[in-house]
Amino acid sequence: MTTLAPAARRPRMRTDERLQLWASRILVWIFIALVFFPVWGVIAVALSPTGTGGELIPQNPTGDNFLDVLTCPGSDRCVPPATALPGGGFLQWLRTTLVVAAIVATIQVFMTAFAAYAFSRLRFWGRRWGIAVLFLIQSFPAFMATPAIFMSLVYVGLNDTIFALILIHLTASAFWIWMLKGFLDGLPRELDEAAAVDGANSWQTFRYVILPLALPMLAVLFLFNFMTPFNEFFLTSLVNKSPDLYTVPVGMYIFVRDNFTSRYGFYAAATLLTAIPLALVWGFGQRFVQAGLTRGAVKG
Amino acid sequence: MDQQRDVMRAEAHPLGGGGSASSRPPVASTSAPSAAGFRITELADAGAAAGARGLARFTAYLYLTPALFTMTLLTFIPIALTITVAFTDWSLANFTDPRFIGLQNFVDLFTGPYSPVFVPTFIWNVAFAALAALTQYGVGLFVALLLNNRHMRETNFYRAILILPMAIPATLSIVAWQGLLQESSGQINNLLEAIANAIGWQGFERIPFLLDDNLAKVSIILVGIWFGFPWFMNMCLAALSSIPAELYEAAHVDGATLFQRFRHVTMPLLLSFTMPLMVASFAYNFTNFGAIYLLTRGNPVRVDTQWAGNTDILITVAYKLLGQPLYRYGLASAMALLLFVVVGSMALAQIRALRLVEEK
Repeated sequence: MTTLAPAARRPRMRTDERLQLWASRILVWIFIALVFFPVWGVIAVALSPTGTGGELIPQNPTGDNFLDVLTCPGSDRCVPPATALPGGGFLQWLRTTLVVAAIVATIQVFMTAFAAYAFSRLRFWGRRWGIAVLFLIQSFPAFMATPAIFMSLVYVGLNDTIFALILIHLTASAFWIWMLKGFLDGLPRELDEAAAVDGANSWQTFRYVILPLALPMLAVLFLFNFMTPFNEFFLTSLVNKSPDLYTVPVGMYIFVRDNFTSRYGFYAAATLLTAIPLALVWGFGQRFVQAGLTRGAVKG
Repeated sequence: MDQQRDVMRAEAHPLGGGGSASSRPPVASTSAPSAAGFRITELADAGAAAGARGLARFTAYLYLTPALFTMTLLTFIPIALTITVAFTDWSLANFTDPRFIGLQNFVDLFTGPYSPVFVPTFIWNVAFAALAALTQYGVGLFVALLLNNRHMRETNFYRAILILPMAIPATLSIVAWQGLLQESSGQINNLLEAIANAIGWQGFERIPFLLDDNLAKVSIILVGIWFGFPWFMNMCLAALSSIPAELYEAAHVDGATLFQRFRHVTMPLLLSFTMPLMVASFAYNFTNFGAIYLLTRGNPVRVDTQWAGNTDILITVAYKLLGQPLYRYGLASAMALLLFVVVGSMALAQIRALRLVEEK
């Protein structure tokens, strides 16, 4: 996207351009170092002996924290505080979070795609200002409505179930409907018309013409929604008090909250084990994110 | 770009023209009075057309149902409940028997025992949201400008690794930052100490980042930059790539300097695209619970009051009002409603800027 010309046809740089390039490079490297130092800090803590705050460069690096994360509280090798891990430990939290994330992201993608298709292609009362109104209502600090959601779930007896963990993340987002609508608006109408000429109804047009073309943007949508259960702490901890249903952020926060310094090494290792796969997915998905966001927001 | 957008919009809604013919308004009402038979068939046609139009609308609502259903269940009803509670004295003390007390909660916020908390908290809240939006945008833009260099072949690599803070779940990394910023064991202090030793500076003392009032605020902003800049970097790069190269060539031919090109070509086009993002960021940070609570829990404590700490923003105060030992649901909901006034007007500005209401 940024490499405008292939290397062969790249014009020769003038001296000032070369200077500017290298100045930019050096600034970018400094910036990368600043952004990555905290990451190194966390890695160093994770590699330091259990129960210490960590050293800048671990003198006796050890994998104990990682082993604790992966095996405790079930294994024989665990000593306090790792034996005090709530619920089934990290791997169980991760399994719960992954299941919730996959279901939530899948439902969100379809829900958003349906709505965005209606706003982009169909005619109905409320089409012009519908997204604006939904967007305005959703600017209400959702966080403050959580007690109401919690009370309702208690009322119907759904708190402390995996269903509640999924349900709380299922609100369709006006912002994403708008983004996806922007993307769909950019797809040529001739395709719809051609499908209509061939006798396709709106569902067939949606299913066989629009959805496949919207795939890059749907991938972005999936990625962002997949992250929500990994990100959300308070509503999740409110609707679910049972340690067996902890998600990764809830389990980790509750474990580390009151004994910060002594349990920080464990926390660091668990953070890395969660973040590395997600970061890899984002690194490779960056191309989609870039293309999707650009076409959704800039529209052309 | 604007012109292009208008073209897009003109093409955007061909349902009258390009879509199904049934959605066109029926033209049956006026016709020659002499041919009665004609009129009847026309009326029948009109009826069929209206039926088809009704069906088309029904189909549209079918597509919208899942989204509207979840929004109603999980946004609209909870918000309505919260707004109702804001006008009651619901709390643990009268949990089963809340009374309607009109605007008393709002009066309490501004004049009651909470007013010494409310005003300074509100000021810090605005300052935090504005500073967070500005610094994150500023840094994101700066990096985007550095990377938007056609001679820099490895740009995509830098971009892929700089997105990292966005890829780590924020809840996890904010708590990790809390550890990094500790005074006695934190890695940031370890680094500063190592640097001080290396340059032989004897007077270095470890910095109590999260324990000092002002340092805690600075820490919150700095951690915010770490989180927030990748989003702005991405968006600014997207905007920059949409600026036509001819504009720069024309400016170059006219002898514009690097700064002049930035000032007169890049900046105006960039701002028109990224301003709404700034507003969105301000609104988001205005109620950014996690950025404050997970890093400092609102501390350090204030000496003059127990209701709020020095880095508390309104939403974290409201959260504290909800929990022990107060359980003031009514008051907390009133605060949420006030926040909604601020954030809602931001949303209105965005709706205008992003043209969320279609003109046609």
